[in-house]
Amino acid sequence: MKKYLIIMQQAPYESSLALEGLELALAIAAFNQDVALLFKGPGVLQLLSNQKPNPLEHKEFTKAYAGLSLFGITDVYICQNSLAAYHNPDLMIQPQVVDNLKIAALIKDYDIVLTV
Amino acid sequence: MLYTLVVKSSHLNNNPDAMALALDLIHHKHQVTAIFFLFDGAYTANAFIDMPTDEPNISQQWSEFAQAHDIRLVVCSASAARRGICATNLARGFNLGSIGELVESCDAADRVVSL
Repeated sequence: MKKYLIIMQQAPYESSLALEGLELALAIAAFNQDVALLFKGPGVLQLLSNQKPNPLEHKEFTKAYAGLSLFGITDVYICQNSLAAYHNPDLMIQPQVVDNLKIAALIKDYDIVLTV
Repeated sequence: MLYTLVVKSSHLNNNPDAMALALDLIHHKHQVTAIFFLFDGAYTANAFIDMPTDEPNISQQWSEFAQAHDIRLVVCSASAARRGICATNLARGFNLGSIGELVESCDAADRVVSL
C-alpha cells in the first residue's frame, strides 16, 4: 500500500477541479489507501466556513470536508503562508498548519503526490 | 523503472509535455505502465476532435503513440462523463477506467508523475 498526498490548490467554485480533486481523494481512500490532503494557495478557500454558493450554479461539495474521517482521511494539512495570505479566515475544520519546510518534508515522505 | 503518468490538462493545453516525457522515458529504457487522463485530460479522448490542418492533433498523436508502444491509455470514467466522453465517442487507443485501476497502476509503479 502506498501513501498518497493530494495537494488541493484550486479555489472551490472557480471550476469543477476542486470538487473533482475531492472526489479523487475519496475514491483513492475507498480503495483502502493511505490518503492525506494538503490545502495550499487558493485551495485554502475550499475550507472556509459558512459557504453559500448559489445552488443553481454550484454544488456545495465542501460540506464533505467535515466528514473526511468517515472516509478514512485523517491527515489534513494546510499551508501557513497561504492562510496568512487570506488573512487567517474561519475554517470549517482545523487541519494541521504546516510551514514550507514541513511541506517539503511531507512531499518527500509520501510515495505519490498528486496536485489538483 | 516503472512509471505511471497522470495527465490532467486538456489536449489544447500542455499535454504534449506528457507525451514528450513518455517518449523520453521509453527512449531511456524505462517502462510506462499506463497513462491516465483525469479531469480536463479526459477531453483528449474525444474521437470527434477535428483540428485545423495546420495544427497538431494531440488526441490522434496519443492514439498513434498507444499503438506504437503498446501502452494503455486510461480515461477516468467520472472525468469523462462530466465532459461528454463515453464509449461511443472514445478515440482509438483510449479506454474508460476507474480510480481503482489508477490505484493498481500506482501501486506497481516506481514513480508516478502527474502533469
